[in-house]
Parts: sequence; C-alpha cells; structure tokens
Amino acid sequence: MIFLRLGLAASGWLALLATALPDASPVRVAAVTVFLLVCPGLAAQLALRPSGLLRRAGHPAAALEAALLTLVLGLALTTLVAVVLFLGGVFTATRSLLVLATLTAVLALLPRRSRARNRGPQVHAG
Amino acid sequence: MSGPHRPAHTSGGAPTGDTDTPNGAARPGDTTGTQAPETSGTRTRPDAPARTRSDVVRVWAARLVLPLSIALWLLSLRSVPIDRMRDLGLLQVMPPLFWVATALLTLGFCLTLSDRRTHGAWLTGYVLALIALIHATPTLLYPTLRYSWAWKHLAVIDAMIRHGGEVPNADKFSVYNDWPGFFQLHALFLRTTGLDSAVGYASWTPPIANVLLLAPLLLLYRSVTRDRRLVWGAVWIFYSCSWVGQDYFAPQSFAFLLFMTVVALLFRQLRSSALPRPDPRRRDGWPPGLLVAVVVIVAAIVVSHPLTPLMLISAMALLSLPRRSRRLALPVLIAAVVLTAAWDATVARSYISVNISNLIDSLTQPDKNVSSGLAALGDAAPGQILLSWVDRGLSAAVALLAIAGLLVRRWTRRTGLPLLAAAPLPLLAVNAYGGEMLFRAYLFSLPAAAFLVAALVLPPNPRRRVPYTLAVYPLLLVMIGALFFGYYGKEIVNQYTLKEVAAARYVIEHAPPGSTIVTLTADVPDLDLDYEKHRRVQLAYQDPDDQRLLVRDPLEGVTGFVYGATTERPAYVVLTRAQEKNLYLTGALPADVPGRLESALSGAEGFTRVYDNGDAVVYRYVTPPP
Repeated sequence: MIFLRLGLAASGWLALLATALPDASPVRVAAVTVFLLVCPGLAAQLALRPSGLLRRAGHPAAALEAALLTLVLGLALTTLVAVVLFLGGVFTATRSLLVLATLTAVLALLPRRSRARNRGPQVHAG
Repeated sequence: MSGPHRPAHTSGGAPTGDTDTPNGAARPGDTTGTQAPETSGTRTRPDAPARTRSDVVRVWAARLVLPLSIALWLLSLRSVPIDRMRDLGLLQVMPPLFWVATALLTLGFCLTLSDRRTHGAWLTGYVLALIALIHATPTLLYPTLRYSWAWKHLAVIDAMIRHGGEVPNADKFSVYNDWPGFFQLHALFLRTTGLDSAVGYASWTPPIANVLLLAPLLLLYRSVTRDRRLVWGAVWIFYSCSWVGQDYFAPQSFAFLLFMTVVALLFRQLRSSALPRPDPRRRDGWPPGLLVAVVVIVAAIVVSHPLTPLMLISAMALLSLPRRSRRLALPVLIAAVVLTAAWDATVARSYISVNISNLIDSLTQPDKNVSSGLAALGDAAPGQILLSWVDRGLSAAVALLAIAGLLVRRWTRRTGLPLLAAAPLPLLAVNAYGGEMLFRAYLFSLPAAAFLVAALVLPPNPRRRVPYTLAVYPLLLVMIGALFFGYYGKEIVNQYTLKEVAAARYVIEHAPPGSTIVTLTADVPDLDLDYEKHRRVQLAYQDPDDQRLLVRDPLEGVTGFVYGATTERPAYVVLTRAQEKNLYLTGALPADVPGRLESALSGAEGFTRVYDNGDAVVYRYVTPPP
C-alpha cells in the first residue's frame, strides 16, 4: 500500500515532467492521460473512503465501483481545477498539472486512520 | 447478504407472504434466494444439477456466436456505400451481413442469458459487442467526425483555449461560457498533452461513453436484484432502446455519466441493496468520505451542463420521499440545490437572467414543452416520417412496458427505480430546452425504465428459465431494429466528407474578422471555428417572412442578410452537400432551394465564386458601389 501511495504522490510530478517533451509526443500523451484518468481519483478514494477501496477489493461489484469512482472522481476533480483556473484567468498547462499533482500527492499521503489501516481485506456478507 | 441487513422493504410494511419477488424465492437483498450464487459469474454449486446435452449445446452455441457475430459485423463494414444514403440514412446502405450479425448477436445473448452458469465475462462480452456494433459502426465508416454539434463543441474548446476562458462576442455560443466544465476539461487535456485538437478522439466518444455507462448501470441494477438474468437483460434493453443519440462529444454525455454514477452510488448504499455494502455496520446514510466524493461529482455536473443538475435535483427530490432512501437522497439534494443556485447566481447569471422570461412562459404553457420535441412532419422526406413514427413507437413502448412492469411486478415498487424513471417528468413542464426536452426526459428515464421492462419480460421461473429467456428474443430484435431507425436514420446529415471540412477551413482561414458567413443550415463541419470573430446567418432558421422571400427569390433572400458587406468585412455564402441533404430530409426549406440559390449566385453582381471542390461551393460577396 505504501508503494501505491508513494507512486500516486509521484505520478503528477512525472506527468508534469512529461510536458517538457515535444507537443503530442506519444510518451507525453500517455503519461498525462494515465495520470488524469487514474491518479487524482484513486488518491481521492484513498483519502475519502479507504475502507471501500481496500476491504472489499475482492468483490467484483466493489472493484467495479472503485474503478468507476476512480475515473469519475478524477474527471470531476480535473474539471473543477480547470474551471477554477480559467475563471481566475490564470490557466496554463503547467499550472493545471501543478495543482493536480499537488492535490494528488496531498490526498495520497494524508495519514490514514488506524482503524481503516489495520483492517485487512475481509469480506462481509453485507 | 446476512444478519442485520435486511432489505428496507421487508421491514417497511411489505405484506406478509408476498411472493412477488425478483427471483421467485427471494426478495432483492434477501439471504435465502436461490439466485445468490449468480452475483458474480460462474460459481458451481455442489448441489447444482448436471448440465443436460441440450444445455451443453446451448452453452457452446452461445460461445461460438459471439466471435462469429463480431467477425460478420467487421466483414460487413468492408463495403458500405455511404454515399448512397437517402432518407433512411445508414439503414438503407448497411449490407445484409450487418443485420445477420445483429440478429445473431441478440440470439447469442439470449442463449447466454438462459444459462445461469455461464461466466459473467460472456455477458459482458455480448454487451460490449452490442455497443461496438451500434456505436462504433459510424466511426469506422466515416472519414471524419460525425454530427455538426460535435464539431461545434470542438470550436468552443478551441476558442476557450485562445481566450484563456470566457469567449467574448460569443452570441449564441454564450451558453457555453456559462457552463464551461466539459470544454475546459478538454482544454486542459489538450494543453497538457500538446495535442492540436480533440477531433481525433471525439469520433470515438459514442462507443466510449456507452462502455463507461455500463459500470453505473451494472451497479444500479445489481443493487436492486441479484437475479443476473434481470440485471443483464435490463442492460441489454437499455442499450437497445437508447436511440436519442446523446452520447456524442458533448457536455450532456459527460454529465450523464456523472449523474448515473451519483445515482448508482446512492442505490449501492441503500439498506435494501442486493450488493454487499462497503461498511455493513453503518445503519443508514452516506459514509462521510463517500459523501464528499459525491459532492465533488455533483459540483462537476453543475459547472458542466445546465439541464443535468435540474434532473439530479428532481431525481433526488423524489428519492427523498420514501423513508428508506431519504437519508441518502436528502444530502445530495441539498448539495445539488445549493451548488446549482450558487452557480446560476454567479457565473451563469447572464444566461439565467436573459432566459428567465422564457422559463416563465414555458411554466404557463407546459403543453408546449411536451409537444415541442415532436418533429414537424409537413415537408419531411417520406423515410423521415416513418422514422419519426418508429421513434415515437419505441419510446411509447418502453414507457408502456415500464408501467406494466411496475404494475405486474409489485416488488419493483419498493426499489426506488419507479421514482427514478419518473424524475424527469416535472422538468417537462418547466423547460422546453430548445425543443429537446422530451428526448432528454427519455434519456434520463431510460436506465430505470429499462429495468422495469426487464422485470416484466424476464419473470422469475427457475423451472422454465430457458424457454422464458428465449421467448424475449423477438422483443429484443424489435427493440434494436427500432433503435437503428432512430440512431442511424438521419446519418445522411450527420456524415461529412473531407471536402466539406476543407471548404470550411478555407472560409475560416480567409474570412477577416467581422465577416458574415451565410449557410442554409448548421450542417457544415468546422465552420464554427473562430465563431466569436464572425457573424453567422443560417437561412433556414430565420423569420418566416425571410424564409418565404428566400424561396420566392433566393438571390434577394440572401442579399438582404449580407447587404453592406465591404472588402474589409465581406460576406461568404457556403453551400455544401450536407446542407442540401438536411433540407431534403427535414423539409425546413424546399429541397430545390440550394440548386436555385447556387444558380442565382453564379453571375450575380457582387458575388464571386472563390472555392468549389465538388462537395462545397463558397461565394464571396462585397456590396457593389451604387
């Protein structure tokens, strides 16, 4: 889990680094796309509902829900960041990735509550 | 499901001995159902009866039909004469192999559905193949992005990038300034990746948007029942009846995915949910972290689309009525109302204040909104009249079957789905939404309505499961057949050639700021680029007097709109293939107007033919000195 959190925390900065590559280069497109679609949403889930993400990871519906929420939450956060920067008249590609990378890192590295952390994967019959 | 987590409706006054349940033995979420193993894919039970020879044949047939129908579909795309489309669009040019593939795929799905031990991956495969067959076919066949509105949205993204946000002088495009979420999300993506335009991936939006919708649909349906046949049957019916085409590159398709995610998360948290809940100790309401996530999603909806927040508010208001879902729906309702009010009072204030009088008018004439979505059939092409009736028939059939499902399968009344299906109805009374309200209401009702239809036509009958499942095959065929009318029937207008795009690019590159660009209809791909720099006139949508003048004397009809054009601010008249097809199809103007207009313009004083590539002609106009 610690590797996931560290990886998420680093992902935004790697995407930011990729923007130094030429416009539309495949590595840059892939790095930014993967970051935007996966990382902010996953980090937000780790921060907001670690139990939903970890405890029931083995259940297909839970996996589906986690995947959906990762994507949709990531898109929602990216949309809100873009809108705020555009409304403020301060939008640039670098700034937007900087904000998202910081947000992702903070969400990924937020200290977990011990209750959630100690509870290993287990299945409740619900 | 076990222990203390009984479904809310079992403790909420359901009549004792009510055997009207989704699987014949267990209510949704009950612990004793025979369907419990069906929750996920294949689970061989020790006491399960052995498969008979016919079972084995059926299972293998289902496994063969999926790759076979995909192969036939791909083969059918090799030679489709799309330039021969007429008033029924793709419907009349798709080869027989395409229809064979569709019928086979539906049959294979029914066979798979009839076997309770087939792995869920096969059902997923069938649904994905259905989505590909319906929604990827135009993308694979057309040389460029389909649908004029998708092109328009590309232009909005481009303008927002150029202006760093709000686009000045946006005129009719100003609504996009007020709900910019979708456009600025793509602007962010384009700027950070360095891609020039979204046109490359926008073409694939319909299949991708539908694939993404599968996740919330499955979560929603699986929260209501553990009967796998019902879940996947409802999914299939949803995709077979979703003919309104709001899945293209647009804020609506984005906001609809977010809306469905919120709804699915809510149903998943219900105490009656047939799915195991993340925290079974929680009695009711949202886990705080998840509620924060939901509010973030609601905020993204509010900044992206004007209508979807209202649909969400309506849905949450109705779901707040029953006690079993109130503690979940109420917080989302409050968040949606507060965020929508705050957004409308600030960023979207200009649009709201201008349009509030229209809203009041529509409140006083609710019947106008209901009827505004129905096509005026006066001069439309014969095929379009048929198509319009098929669309209406499919929509009415879904509504009637859903109501019948609600009446006959009493257990569905306790699921919250009827409220979800009814949620768009109040909006019908208050918002015409440019004549589209009826279609949007259908879109938002369909996820719940499809389940009610599935509950009706796929009744629980463990003993006669196979014949009962196969009996719905004709119905599914009719549904998907009707869908093709609605979805493919107007493709003659939605498909563009590269020459039409080239003509639009020519105009945009050569027209100085302040120029007037005149077209007959909106069907010119990419002509909206730089929309804030040019004045646009679409002749077919002017006042009736102007239209009559155009029909009587095309030259005079056009000159009235461009008179006074100077060398610094000239006018361009753009006539293209798709505009001509639109007039033929819809009858907005007589079909001979484009030809007569072109004849009148060639040689007319002040008009110079500056571009002609076979699919498009462009005239430049400067008013001659007196």
